[in-house]
Amino acid sequence: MDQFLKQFDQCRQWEKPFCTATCPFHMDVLDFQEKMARGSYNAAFKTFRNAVAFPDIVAALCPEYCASSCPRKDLDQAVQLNLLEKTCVAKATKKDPTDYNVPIKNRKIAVVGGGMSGLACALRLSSKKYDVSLYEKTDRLGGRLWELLPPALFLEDVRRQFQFENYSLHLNTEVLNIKELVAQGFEAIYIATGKGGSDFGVLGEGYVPYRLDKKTALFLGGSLLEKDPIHSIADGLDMAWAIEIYLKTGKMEYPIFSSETKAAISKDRLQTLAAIVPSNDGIFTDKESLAEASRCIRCQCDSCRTDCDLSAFYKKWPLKMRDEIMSTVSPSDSILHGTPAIRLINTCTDCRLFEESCPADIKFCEMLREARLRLHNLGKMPGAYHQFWLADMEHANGEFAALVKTPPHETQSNYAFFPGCQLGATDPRYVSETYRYLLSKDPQTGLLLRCCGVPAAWSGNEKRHAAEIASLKNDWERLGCPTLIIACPSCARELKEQLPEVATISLYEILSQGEPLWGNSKIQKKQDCLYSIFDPCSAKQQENFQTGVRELVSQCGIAIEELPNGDHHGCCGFGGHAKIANPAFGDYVAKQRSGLSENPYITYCINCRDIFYEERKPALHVLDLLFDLNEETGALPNLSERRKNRVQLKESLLTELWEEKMEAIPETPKTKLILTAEIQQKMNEQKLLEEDIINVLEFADSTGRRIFDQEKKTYTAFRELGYITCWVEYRPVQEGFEILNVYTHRITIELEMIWNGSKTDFDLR
Amino acid sequence: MEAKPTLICDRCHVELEEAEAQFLYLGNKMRHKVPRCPQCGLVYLPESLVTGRMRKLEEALEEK
Repeated sequence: MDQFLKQFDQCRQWEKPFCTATCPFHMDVLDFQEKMARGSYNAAFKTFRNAVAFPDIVAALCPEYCASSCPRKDLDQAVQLNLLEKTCVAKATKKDPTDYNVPIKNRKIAVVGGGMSGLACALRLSSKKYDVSLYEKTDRLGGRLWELLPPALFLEDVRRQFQFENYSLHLNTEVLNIKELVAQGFEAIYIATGKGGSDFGVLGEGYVPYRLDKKTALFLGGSLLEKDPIHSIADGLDMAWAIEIYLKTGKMEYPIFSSETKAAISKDRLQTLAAIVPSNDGIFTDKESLAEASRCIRCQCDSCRTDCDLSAFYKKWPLKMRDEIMSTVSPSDSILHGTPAIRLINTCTDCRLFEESCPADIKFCEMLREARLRLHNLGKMPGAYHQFWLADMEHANGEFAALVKTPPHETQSNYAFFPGCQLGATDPRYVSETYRYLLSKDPQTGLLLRCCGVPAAWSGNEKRHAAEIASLKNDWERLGCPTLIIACPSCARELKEQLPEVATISLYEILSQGEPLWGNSKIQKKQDCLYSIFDPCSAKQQENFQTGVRELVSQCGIAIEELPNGDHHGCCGFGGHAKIANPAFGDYVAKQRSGLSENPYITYCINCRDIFYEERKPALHVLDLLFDLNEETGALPNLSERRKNRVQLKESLLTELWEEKMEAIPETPKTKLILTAEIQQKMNEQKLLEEDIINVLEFADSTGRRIFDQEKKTYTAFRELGYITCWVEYRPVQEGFEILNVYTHRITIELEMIWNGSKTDFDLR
Repeated sequence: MEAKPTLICDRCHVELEEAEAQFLYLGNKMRHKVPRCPQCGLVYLPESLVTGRMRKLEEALEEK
């Protein structure tokens, strides 16, 4: 995990927005705008004052440096921050500073020059209760301000900001030799003698604006260094910071102004919004200031926040998620240990959109995949999360469904069709029709029916995953190492990453080659509709899938409109098998993807199509079109039927193409179930098969462990099925068992230990 | 409060009674009163408990 932690060093979440970076005061513009946008002028004023020291003066003088860096400047017009500042200053009613009760510090500091830079430095240090002496050679404070602003404005601001501060003011006192002040025991001196003023030899030849004279730190700033008024004030505040650092640590640090920022924004956040013209004497009305503050898009690197489903759903920034993940995968004896992210880690869909969006190149999906391995190795992975899909993989790779065959009447395959485990489960015709077509094009095409092993990777079980990959490789070798024709982009991605030695080609690329022969009544019917192609998340960077499907659709003469962001979207919700760990997340993601376009979708991942079916979003698998199979909406097979479909697919292909009889056939259960549509739906949601229900009933029958409800005349029984406990309420009828209710939980009942004989302690009774 | 049905343990033919049972999830043990057979200890968990408090607890323990 350390390499991922290191990547997070580059995270730009806390990078300053462009305006803050350009602002000489580095004002927290996000905070200011947020307060202005809700009309909290007093709160916004406080933010402004804390940044600039003299809010009335700065609002009057600020030339809006930030406008040059505002991303709006190229679109319409930069956000008018200075007008917002002026509005804030005019409308705030609580303008007095806070009188903080801070202990007095007996550290002597001198400020030479009572211009705006010296005043800013003196104000900041005296508010922190340092012993400040301010020397001004004339009889008035303000320096250049007398030439720039009406005296009433700036004198009132100076008076207000200094009203709670004690400092020694020495008017009409020209400092001629800095040594005098050094001799008086000042620990630091800020020299802000103004344009043409004396630098007391500090600058010297090297033009270095600071120096240590014995034990006194000397800093220079303001218009002495030819700064403009706003930078002069900022200098005063910066030097106050430098002096404090010196007093606390003994180090001389001269603040260097940097307007650099690595902030990044996605351009689609910028919508044209005309700048607001103030109607009232250069000041916005409440409505206008709200509108202008709302033009600010709050630049912050946040593509992960909007693109990554995990971040959007949990409303958490990746940095926060990183900390929770690290805590969860740390060993139990670590002081960091906690398990706040068990569910979060298992909610990732492995869509890799984060990697595509992140300008800092953080591999967050990879981190989450690694976290699952860690969780499993630490024994903290809830078994219930992955139990169903691991069993499903076992079924797909088992004797009833898996098939490794060289082409009929051949011993060698140049190619082998690898449809993945879910295509034939949804509808066996997807596989049988496609395979027949492929055989007609090249009789040297073998068939490999099995799972690619990704469920094991998603479950975090490294050993099991390695075993699946080895078994897949073995099957491929048995076929004579053919090029695999892949239907499922997820399998393709998995093979590319796990078995790079296996040559693969996209099914759709192959189908789109040669003379287009596609013509059936369905295609003709669909030629009047406009579709959008929904690229599955696993097809990112798999151009041969994306272009192959588009070519096929175009060969069918069907018009398409690309989705607004092309393939830049997350998973349909199937990936990572996240839906079991977090059903609400699964629904959220499915809704998001369904809403990308009003058009019906054409997709090429059966899991995407199935999820859209469930969402009632009209969607076709591209094979539906080519081989005239299913419509855009319809009923999905339930989980038991999916397994039966796999068996039927194997059986029919063996019989029809290889003229072989299937050796192993699953037993038909003796117990007959009567299931309503509602119960079947419930079973689907809880990932229960008919055989699971039968298992519970047979166990109840053999042990007599069931509860009889005298009123309803029904029985209720339960049994642990791996990591879940399944409860069934039923009524025996003549034809079998009428199932009235099913429900499951993950918490185990300790009583089971007694029943199973592994514990003889009966203290629980 | 929903009216409690009369529940009978089908093996011991006695009525279930409220008694403590122990539960375990992700290394955490909890005890809770549920209908149990006073003779053999068989428990009954109604759906309202399973989909209500138990599910909330499962989710809480997965994010603790």
